[in-house]
Amino acid sequence: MTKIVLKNKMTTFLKKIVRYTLPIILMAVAMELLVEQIPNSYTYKRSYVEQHASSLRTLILGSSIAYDGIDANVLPHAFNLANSSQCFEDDYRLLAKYLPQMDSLQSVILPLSYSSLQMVSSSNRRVYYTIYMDIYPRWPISKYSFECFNLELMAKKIVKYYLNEDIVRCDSLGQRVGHTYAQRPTDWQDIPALIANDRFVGPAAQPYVQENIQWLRQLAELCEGRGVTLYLVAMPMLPAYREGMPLKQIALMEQVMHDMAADYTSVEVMDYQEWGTEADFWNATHLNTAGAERFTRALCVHIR
Amino acid sequence: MLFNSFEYLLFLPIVFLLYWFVFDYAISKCKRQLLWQNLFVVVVSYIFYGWWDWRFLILIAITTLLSFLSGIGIEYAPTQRGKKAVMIANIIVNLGILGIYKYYDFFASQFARLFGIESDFLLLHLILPVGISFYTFQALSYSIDVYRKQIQPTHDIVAFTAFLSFFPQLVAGPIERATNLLPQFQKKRTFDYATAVDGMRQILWGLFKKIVVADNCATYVDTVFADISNQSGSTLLLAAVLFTFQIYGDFSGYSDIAIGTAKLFGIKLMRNFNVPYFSRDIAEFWRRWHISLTTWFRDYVYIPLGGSRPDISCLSPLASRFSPTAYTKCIAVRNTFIIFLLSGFWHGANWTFVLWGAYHALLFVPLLLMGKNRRYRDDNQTWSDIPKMVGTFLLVMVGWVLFRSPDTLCFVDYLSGIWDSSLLSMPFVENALHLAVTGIAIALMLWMEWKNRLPNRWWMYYALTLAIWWFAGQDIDFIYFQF
Repeated sequence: MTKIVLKNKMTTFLKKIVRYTLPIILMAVAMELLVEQIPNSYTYKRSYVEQHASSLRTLILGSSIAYDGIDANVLPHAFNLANSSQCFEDDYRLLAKYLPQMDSLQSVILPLSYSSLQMVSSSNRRVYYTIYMDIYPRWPISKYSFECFNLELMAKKIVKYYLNEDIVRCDSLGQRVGHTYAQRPTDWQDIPALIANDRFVGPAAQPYVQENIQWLRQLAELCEGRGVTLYLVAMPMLPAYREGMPLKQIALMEQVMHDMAADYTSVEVMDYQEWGTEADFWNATHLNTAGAERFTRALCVHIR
Repeated sequence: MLFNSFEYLLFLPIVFLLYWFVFDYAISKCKRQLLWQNLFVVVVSYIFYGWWDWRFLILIAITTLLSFLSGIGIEYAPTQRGKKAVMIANIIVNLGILGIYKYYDFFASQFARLFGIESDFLLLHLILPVGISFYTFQALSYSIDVYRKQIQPTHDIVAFTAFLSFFPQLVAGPIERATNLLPQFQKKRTFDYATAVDGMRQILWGLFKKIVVADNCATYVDTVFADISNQSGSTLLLAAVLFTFQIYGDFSGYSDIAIGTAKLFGIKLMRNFNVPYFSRDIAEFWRRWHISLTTWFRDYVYIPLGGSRPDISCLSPLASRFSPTAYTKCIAVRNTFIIFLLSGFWHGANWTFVLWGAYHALLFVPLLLMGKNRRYRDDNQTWSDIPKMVGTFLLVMVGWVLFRSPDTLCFVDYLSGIWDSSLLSMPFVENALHLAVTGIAIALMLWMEWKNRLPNRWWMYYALTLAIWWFAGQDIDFIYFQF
């Protein structure tokens, strides 16, 4: 076969590939531009912190147990910078980014649950921290650089926005809205299933423990360097959930917290695992809105 | 680097363009064009493989060098005995490496358990290199084929390295034979438009099977297997069915992507699956499932052991007490068990895999003894074969439950959980829409494969792409990477 014929065949092939991929790429670009304009909890929280950094005295970090469970309205000059599935690496990077601007910061509250030490950033969430919080590099390009790599989430967000649903889903001081006692999930009492489905519990998640301890230590060092107190709070859990959790899992969390308190003068440990009644919970591991307010008031007593 | 990853999405087009435009067109007049192109294949394959962990490259390099040298050693060994010794040495060393990385900790812990001693100090805790089972077997096939004079030993180490490390099939097969793949690296490749388009279609189809079928099945299956004791019989049955399709979608999807990718580079890989769930009996199933592995065991273990036609010309005193027919059948049964047990063990260091192999051996042997293991050797299934196909499917499904179970107790719990009055209740369905979509995807997969078709219309390309793109965020590993 001659070189020219081969070249023509290759050209035809490449044209076919371009014809196939071009509409997809254009659609992805358009949707990406659209979705990045939609306000969300990450853009809101970033904007708030950047505007009020110098006046904040208490910062709340952590995952959904903090996002739901700590009411910043109860604490003076506080803000809830927690978010669903926010891991310790995310917490560290957020604090490292904003601490230099937080001249008045005195306390950082970091709630822990039984699975906190096994949690790592899921790729879906890491995208948000990359694009909207700018705590991970967007370049060189990776799967975390754009929301368009996850069509399902992106499309659902766009549809919700244009149906006027609340995408931000947090109050003015960063606590999640919509998790009242009346709005509990129907299976909120299915404790064994909740434990079984927790992707952060079990052998598969064990390798992340040491990594997370390192991030916790870096957080503590950051706080110690600035004279900020880091409050590690063992959050309330429903008794049935505590009883169903492997003892090893609970012991691990408690051991790490106490080791941190022993190693760092800036770290204080507060154990509220047995706090609360059923009426305070949204599900077995998260407080509802009223419960969060009550809990934060109880916490307030111990926070300087 | 995973086929369904962002990195591969960038890697493949760059490699493709360089392979043809630089290492083919641009240097086509260069006398060593083939050498440079093969070298490029080696470099990109090593980059692909080293993306997981660069330390893995040392092992594959060792296997490559040993197997390459074994070919030359067999060629130059002065006696037949010497040639055999070289081949056996290569087998022992390569299987030794595989054995240490894959099986040492398992046997050490079993040994410790047997004698009631603490096992931790015995364990090496070695990370299992991705694809070691696949490339080791591929390397072994080369030296055995050279010994058997089925292929000339190569003196071109670059072509040999390209054969062994060719990235599309390196980590999860198909396990290629030197007789098929090595010659393709010893001659010039030509870009073929139809083959390349077919390759793209096959990649798209493979991604659909993996991301839309397998990963969606996985979300249900993983939830059920995480909490077996609290599931109804109907839920367990549904999860078993879905896992059966998950493992097929996952593994055959990977093979499709591998074969399709190879086509882009003018390389033809062997077919690894031939609609196995339309098999009419277990024997046919094993001619259609993971074909590269089953034929490997057939050619390098079963037949050398005598297969189903052992040599009866010189029997031992014990064996000669039996009639030739009885002796032949005994040997055939023995050999069948050996290859199924080895095949099970190849999959992983766990008794469940061995039991899975034994289970299939027990299903296969009756067909063998009745002489019915070769009756279905066509693709002419009809509607009247549906009961047989369903029966075979159910038998295979039970085996997959054992395969998926972390231990035998879990398997027993699972099966006993199915045979419960709750079998007639509605299965647990958290997201009916998601399950319905999964069901449609499975039906589409089965229909297209029954018709032996790949997507070939623009609307199909876009529909599949949108479906893949929609579900791509689930980020679930390929099952067969653990082997």
